[in-house]
Amino acid sequence: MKAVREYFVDLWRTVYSIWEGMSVTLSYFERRPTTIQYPEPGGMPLGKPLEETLPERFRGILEIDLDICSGCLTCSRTCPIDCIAVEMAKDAEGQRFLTRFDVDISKCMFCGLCVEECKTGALRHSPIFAAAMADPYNLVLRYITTPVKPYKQVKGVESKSEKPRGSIAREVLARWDSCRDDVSPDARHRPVLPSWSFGGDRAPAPAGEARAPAAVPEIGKEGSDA
Amino acid sequence: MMPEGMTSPDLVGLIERWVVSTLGLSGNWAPVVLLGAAGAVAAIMLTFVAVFAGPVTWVERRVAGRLQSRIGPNRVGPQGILQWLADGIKNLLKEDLIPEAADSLLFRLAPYLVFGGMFGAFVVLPFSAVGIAADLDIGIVYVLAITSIVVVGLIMSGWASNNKWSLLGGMRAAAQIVSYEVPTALALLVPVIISGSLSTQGIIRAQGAWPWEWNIAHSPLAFAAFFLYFVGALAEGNRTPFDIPEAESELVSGYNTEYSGFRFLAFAFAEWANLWIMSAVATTLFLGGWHVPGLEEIVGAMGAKVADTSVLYNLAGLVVFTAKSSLLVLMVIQVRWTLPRLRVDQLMSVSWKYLVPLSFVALVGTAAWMLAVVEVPALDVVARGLTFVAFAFLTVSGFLRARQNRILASEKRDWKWFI
Amino acid sequence: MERIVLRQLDRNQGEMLLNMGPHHPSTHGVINFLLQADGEIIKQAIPEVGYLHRGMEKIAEQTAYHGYMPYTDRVDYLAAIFANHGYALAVERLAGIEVPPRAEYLRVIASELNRIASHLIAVGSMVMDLGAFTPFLLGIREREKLNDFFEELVGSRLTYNYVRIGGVAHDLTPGFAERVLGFLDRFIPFLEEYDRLISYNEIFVGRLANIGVIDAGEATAWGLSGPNIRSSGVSWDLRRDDPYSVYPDLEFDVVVGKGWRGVLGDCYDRYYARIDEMRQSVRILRQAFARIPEGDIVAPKVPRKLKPPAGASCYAAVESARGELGYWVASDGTDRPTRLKIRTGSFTAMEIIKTKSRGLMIADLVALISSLDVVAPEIDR
Repeated sequence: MKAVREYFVDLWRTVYSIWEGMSVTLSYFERRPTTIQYPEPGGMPLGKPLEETLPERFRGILEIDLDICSGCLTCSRTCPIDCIAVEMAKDAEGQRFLTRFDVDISKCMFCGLCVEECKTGALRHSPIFAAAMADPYNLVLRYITTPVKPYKQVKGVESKSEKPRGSIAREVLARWDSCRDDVSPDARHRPVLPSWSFGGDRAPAPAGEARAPAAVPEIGKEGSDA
Repeated sequence: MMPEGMTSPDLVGLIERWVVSTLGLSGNWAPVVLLGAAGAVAAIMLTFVAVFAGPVTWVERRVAGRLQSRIGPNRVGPQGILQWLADGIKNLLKEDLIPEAADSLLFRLAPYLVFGGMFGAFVVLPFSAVGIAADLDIGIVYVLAITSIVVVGLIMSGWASNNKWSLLGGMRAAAQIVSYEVPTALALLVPVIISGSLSTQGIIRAQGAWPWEWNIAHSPLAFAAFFLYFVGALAEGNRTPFDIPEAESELVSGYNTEYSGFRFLAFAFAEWANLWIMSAVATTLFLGGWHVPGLEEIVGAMGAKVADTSVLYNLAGLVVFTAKSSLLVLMVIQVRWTLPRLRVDQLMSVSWKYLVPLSFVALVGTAAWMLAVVEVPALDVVARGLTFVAFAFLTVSGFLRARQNRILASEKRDWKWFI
Repeated sequence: MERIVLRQLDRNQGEMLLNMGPHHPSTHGVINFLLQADGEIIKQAIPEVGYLHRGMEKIAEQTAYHGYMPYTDRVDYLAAIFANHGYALAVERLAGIEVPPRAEYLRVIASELNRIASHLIAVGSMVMDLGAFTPFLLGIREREKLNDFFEELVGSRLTYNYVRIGGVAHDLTPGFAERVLGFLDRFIPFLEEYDRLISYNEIFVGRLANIGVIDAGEATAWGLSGPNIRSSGVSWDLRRDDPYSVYPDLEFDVVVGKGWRGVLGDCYDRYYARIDEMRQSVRILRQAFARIPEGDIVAPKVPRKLKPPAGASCYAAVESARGELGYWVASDGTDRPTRLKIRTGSFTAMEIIKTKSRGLMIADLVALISSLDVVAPEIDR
């Protein structure tokens, strides 16, 4: 008798629990989907580009405001994977210039350690996260095209970047994207750091010779998606 | 109900007669005309399968998306309605791969068997009063028999792929379909007993148009038989919760792992076709088929009689039938996206420990009930009323519970589907 | 490995070798299981790990103490805060750094949010392995909300890199506490809905109950930890038994398996323990937000070049979502460790699969693997 009772209790429980589950899924017929339609700027339910909705602390592609960069090299020393390369040079009058500030965003793990260490606030994360390129070497973002004088930090004066977040990275991404003709293949394919080394406080390895272009660079149509 | 000894009109017969009468052909042409008519009807049915199987994938994905709090495909065409075309074309353009180690002949043959088995069932699916390819006397038995060919195809594909996962999938499919034939067949016999006919049209004609005149409301046992059939058909069609032959988290993809291109599409086609078959058979046997509620009363009040071959009547029947079947299809889709999958041994125990005994009870009980109704005719009215009320209660309470679930999640009602 | 299994095959009985993985839908990453199977029945399943080995421990030997923090995110991508926290604890003990209380509370808040997020994936993927897709996606939806919180607090959705040696990286943003508490209020009804949808479903229970039973003795002997050992009835929680951070001040229950739908320590217990732990995490979070003090978020005077005393070594572990996640760090007086060892819950949980898989069916093995909630990068590091 007990077995018979169990048989029917089992049956009832199965049917009832399935009915309960079905009623939960049925309720989703009249509930709003949570999907965010991503690529369109006006996609439901944001109504504006996704980048603009990201919080202040979002760690996107690194960007450097050269107006307030003092060239202290802290960022490149802090970086655990050496994806930032900074070079300084002196001209004939002894004036120091920043000649190179490259960020290899194909290597960068967006950990934010460099940004925390930056004293002037010149290095920061942009809200840009999509940077598909026709050529992976273009992911080495070269922020300096002409030598810049480093910023001299005045004690007690808080330095603050005037440029809106993301504007610098967007500009550089646009410059490096789509394999423009006016950039020589040599320059384009120069890697940031040829040797693979672990970070810490080691001096960055010397920049190696230019890498030979892998192939004829194709003219890509992919936008920077910014 | 048709008088004894007369078969109801069917599409092949209609076309045949129409061709013969318009062209004035002699009797010698009969085989040719018959073949031509059958071919034409087969083409119509195949088109229907294609046109059903395509969009229903879109429907399923949209419904699944909604259930999962997302949107689903909405890019190809307005609201993604052309997604199925894109998928189909993509599959056609794929390379047709046959693994080197596969048994080439069987590997090629299997999709035909699977698709053929499923498609064969369309011969006896009635869409309206005349909208049936051929009204066989033994339509129900035919459906059971022809869909069993699918098993052969599934085993064949699993075996011929020369892949252990495919083989496991094929074996599972065989074990599952063979054991679920039993409860399904037994449950199908219940409406057969009630209607006294094995022909699909005969069973529909034996029912009325209103819900309380359907076979499902005949008695509590018929009500149970409907669900028994439904569960068994889910299992025969390899739908969740019985989709163990293609359990993607266990067997990668089961018997069709090694297939690509159009051969793979044939399996998918068969699966969607089967979705329609199971819903259509359930509608035919339990839910009153193509009867249009209220039509006979209205026409009768006007002093006329409904002609079986009337175009309007058939169109209305088609609409009603499609609506009922589509609702069942939606239910199957919802079940699929709600429930987890059973294990192989549990699958067997569900069949042999629960479904088979219960369908026997339903079968024998229905027979006894028929006798009892002859003695006490009032029983029939009471049972029909009660079953109908129970069915209505189940539906309404399900909706109310769903509403409660939404309120518990403190969400607003949102019926906007086209996003 | 494969040869060992092949040698053991009894071909006369129709046994076969099945490679379940490295790319199999239910191995949760790149793990390979060598199944010696007689049709559906498994004779043994040998886990073959190492497909995702990245040399995390060796990397530590060449990276400065501060610079290793982002690497720890990659130990367990579903619960990165715990890996951060454990590493920070170990180094802080090694260097003798005192963490301000606000930072401790922030760590607890981040940890518990992450525990919920990780358990949502654990139960969701378990349900998905058993064939139900919808609960998984509903869990993912809730997890997305948590990811949004992390994005706001930390700046990243997956690799948080939030904990710093001596504190945390960021303070709460304005209104963060209210938003999280608002989410938690809606999260408890969600869990109930989830239960109605799938946890109480008899098919689901039938798939999990009485499968892969690990009793308390076995669980202890095999070194299981976290929800896996607790669901076997052993009340062992590092948050209570080896207190760290501010957990002693917070009130919560250690969830122990009850065996209420089968035998104690079966897959269903392991499943439901995680759901119950989410409820406890909600409790902890509510208390933490109520009690969080004002103050620094990072200890003053943490040297940029951290040089713990030579010859010192220490072990510190946190209660991660997958069990004990411990770091053993040894110093030689330089700014990078001479040796770092990571002890993870997933790796120890992998061991037991071989013995427990005997006699299971393939579908049960899938349930067993997902009930242990193993994550491939945590196994291999």
